[in-house]
Amino acid sequence: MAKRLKKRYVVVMAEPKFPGDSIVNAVESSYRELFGSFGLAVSGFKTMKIYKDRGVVIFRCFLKYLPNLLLATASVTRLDGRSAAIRTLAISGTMRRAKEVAKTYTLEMK
Amino acid sequence: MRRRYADLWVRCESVERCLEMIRCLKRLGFSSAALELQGECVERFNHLKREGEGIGLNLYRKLVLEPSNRRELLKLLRENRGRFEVISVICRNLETAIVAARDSRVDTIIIPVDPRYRLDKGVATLLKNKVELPFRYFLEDKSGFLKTASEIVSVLGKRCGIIVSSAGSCSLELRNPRQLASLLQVLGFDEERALDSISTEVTNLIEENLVKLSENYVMRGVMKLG
Repeated sequence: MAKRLKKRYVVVMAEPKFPGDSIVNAVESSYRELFGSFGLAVSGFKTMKIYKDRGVVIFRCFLKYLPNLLLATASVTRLDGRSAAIRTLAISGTMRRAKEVAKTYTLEMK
Repeated sequence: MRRRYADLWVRCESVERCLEMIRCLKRLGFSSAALELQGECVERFNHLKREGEGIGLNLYRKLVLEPSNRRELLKLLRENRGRFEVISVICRNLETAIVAARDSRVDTIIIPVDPRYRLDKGVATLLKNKVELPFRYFLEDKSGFLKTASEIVSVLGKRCGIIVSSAGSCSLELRNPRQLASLLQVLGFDEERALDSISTEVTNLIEENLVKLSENYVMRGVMKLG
């Protein structure tokens, strides 16, 4: 029987606050720069949810490639031409838990 | 038991920026940090330490040496060992790398990107101290750093401890423990060992040095009791 690949959901935000789309573009290009297009394709990388005005994004990847995604987020130093850092808020095994963390964070921000 | 994370290199140039970084380190999940103090921060370390303790972050002094030869390194170590909890040496040439690797007064050695000397088994056999990989070097030159770091991990990784530090000078250059550990995981370490490189390896090193700097310490293996 085919083995189901485990996934992880990573909740990230930018510091200072940036629109979600900028974060997605930066992380994806950073991942591609570090591990190549093939690396990006096999990692199961997918943007699951963007909280547009709140600057929070949920990414998904296979568990095996989680360190690669974390390194890609850590290597972002500029967003839209300005200095920035991407912080990991949580790493979760389910989308439900990832959404909870993102919602809690966005409520705290308000 | 929950891991206690420590950042072994944070560069402080001004008090205000340092206070911001201390708060950021706590928010990121660190429980201790070693500060390389510059300018006004040198005199105000006690104030910074109190601020850190107030929010639950232990702070220690770190000295980063960058000597050009063996003689200069030994002179700097003789002058400074008793005044800092952590001493690291940036090894710009093989001469300083070999001396720093086996001197017990040195805590970590830092091998710069593209060092222009070979890290072979000869260096590895001499190595008694830990090797530090500053994350800032990775942010400055990704491919060059990964090339040097993968060489370090493959040649020295099995023989000595490897520590990852942020080496940041502002809060945007700091990264959380999982992000720092991911660097070693990508280079081939398993998750536990990668997390050890920013927790137990660092805390053990600082604890050993605090014992050495205490008044009861006489010499290696000898302590005053009572």
